[in-house]
Amino acid sequence: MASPSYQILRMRAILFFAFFWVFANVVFAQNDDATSLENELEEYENHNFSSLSFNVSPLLFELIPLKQSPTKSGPIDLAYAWGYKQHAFRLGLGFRVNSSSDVQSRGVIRIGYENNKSLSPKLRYYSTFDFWIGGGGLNLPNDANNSGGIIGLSTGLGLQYFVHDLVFIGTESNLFLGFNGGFSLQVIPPVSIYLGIRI
Amino acid sequence: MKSFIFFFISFCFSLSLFGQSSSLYKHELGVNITNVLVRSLGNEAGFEASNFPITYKRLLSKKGRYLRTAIGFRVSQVDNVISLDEQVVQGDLKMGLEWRKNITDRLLFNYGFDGFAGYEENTVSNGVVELYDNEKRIGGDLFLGLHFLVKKRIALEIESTAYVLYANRAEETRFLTVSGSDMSDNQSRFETSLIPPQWLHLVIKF
Repeated sequence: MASPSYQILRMRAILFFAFFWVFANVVFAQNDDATSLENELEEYENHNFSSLSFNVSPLLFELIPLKQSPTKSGPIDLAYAWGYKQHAFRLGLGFRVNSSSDVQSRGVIRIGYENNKSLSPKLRYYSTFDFWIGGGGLNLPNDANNSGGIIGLSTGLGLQYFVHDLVFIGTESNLFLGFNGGFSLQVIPPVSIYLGIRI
Repeated sequence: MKSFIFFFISFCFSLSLFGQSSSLYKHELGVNITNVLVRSLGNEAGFEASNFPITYKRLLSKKGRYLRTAIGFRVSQVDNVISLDEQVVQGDLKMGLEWRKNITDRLLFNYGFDGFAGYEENTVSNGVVELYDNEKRIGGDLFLGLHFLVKKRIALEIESTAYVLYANRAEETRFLTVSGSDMSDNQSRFETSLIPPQWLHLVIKF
């Protein structure tokens, strides 16, 4: 028989996936015509587009029962992409600066290039090349706070699931090479979940 | 736990059944429901409560421009079991303008700016020593958000905010039984942050 802690973990995972699956497929499901969506996406691929992505992990993680610690949800809180066809310029920001010495300040700017492609009418993936500059750590789970600077390059892969023709949920992972308080070669795992819109 | 999941999924399915297209109403009253959700799920550890639990928006133009205000206040006095008297007085006010753009029939993109000011005063006393502090804060923010229409008159809102804040904090230690030995300190701080969406607002339109 499974231990109580395993059962709690399993129920939390079920709730987490239930939230995404139901929210994505039911709440946003208005135009569920796959052909129409495919046409829309083809149309986007041949036009300028811009998208804005919100890091919704802090809010979502608060809704998972029995959370034990504050959420560290990755370095980027707001991301913007502007492009033509499959190519896009992208900008990511995340900062929290406080002049009081009691609070750890951090801040990151990420500028780069994104190449995105369709896997299916609703699913897209993209690869990225970015330049990072900032300080105060990457705000990752189990990451020790550091007051050193961040500068480096990264390459990454991301996924976007279009729950509506203009609304998507996405996540991405990066391989970072540079300085993060010291020399660093590290994987930034997909700790953030983004809710994005095409505007 | 199973019943909670069942209830949650049922709730989400019910949203789609009652989905309506957007309409403009003159007044919108919003309540931050994150506290309730977080407490009911036992997630209070590390949770940052908002200073603005109530919002009110007034439609200014039919193109979707709103005047928005948000308030938060607290006045409390607690005499607890270890003979400590605690008094808290806090008030925050935010005011700004908001614009909206339709993304879908039920999802709107909103953006705008606010100015805000607040005051907070805390006093803790055990009859011999009194610790007193107050903080005055002022600032402004730019925000981007999403407004999701659950029903014609009910919506859910999230916002990402970039703010700057200047605060001045005064602290005093008062020795109630010995005159002339009080200690005081005055500190200022500057703060700027990009806050990802971490609060969910339930909005009623009328």
